[in-house]
Amino acid sequence: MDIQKRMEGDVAILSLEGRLDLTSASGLKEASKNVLNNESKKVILNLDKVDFINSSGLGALVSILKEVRNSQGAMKLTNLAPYVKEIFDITQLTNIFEIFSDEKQALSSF
Amino acid sequence: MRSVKMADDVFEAVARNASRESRIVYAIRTVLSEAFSNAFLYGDKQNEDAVIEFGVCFKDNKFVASIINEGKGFTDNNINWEEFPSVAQESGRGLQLIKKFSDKVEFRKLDGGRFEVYVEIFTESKDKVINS
Repeated sequence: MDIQKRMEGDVAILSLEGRLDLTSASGLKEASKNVLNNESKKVILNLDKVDFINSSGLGALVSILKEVRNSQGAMKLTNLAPYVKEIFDITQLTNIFEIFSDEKQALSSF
Repeated sequence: MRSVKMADDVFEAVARNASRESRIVYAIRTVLSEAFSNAFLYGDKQNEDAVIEFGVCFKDNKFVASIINEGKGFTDNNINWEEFPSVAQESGRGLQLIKKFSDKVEFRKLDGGRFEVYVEIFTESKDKVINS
């Protein structure tokens, strides 16, 4: 998985590309932890180019969300592809994640 | 990771020969990914040397897959299929996703200390998968 990071004001935006599964889960957790510890407690994960997610990927996102909340921060998800959104829906994770259609909306929600 | 590579290889071979609608292909990818990951993580306890056997085919408008690992397995009597794990849990969603994306799932303890996940997915149903 490719992870590109940039800052918009005090918000860190991580743009993810590829698959979010067993092979990429630990890398994403590590990257997010680095951002949280060193750059910002406000994080957006842009999943626009994530073409596949499975339970390992969901577990990584839950883990990151816990870390963010434990550090009094906030995390938003944006640009979920329809099938990725569907996975969130059926696992009911839409109940705990803040999901936005694009970065602009997510940014204005902080 | 060998199990993920295996799931990829099988899925790519299936997708090349499938030319099905994208939702069906996504369901197949999800089921294979979860089944192989489960076999590696829990069945074979992340032992890269353990054997994962598999078979896949299209038969009578169904995609059929059998994934066998060397683990002790489990019985699905202990699984509450009606509920996903608590949203705060980081694991435990794989079997439910297999169930949700499949039309038939069986968990079978086999001779020789092996365990099989057997799934069938109807490949002609346009409305298969979720939103139920």
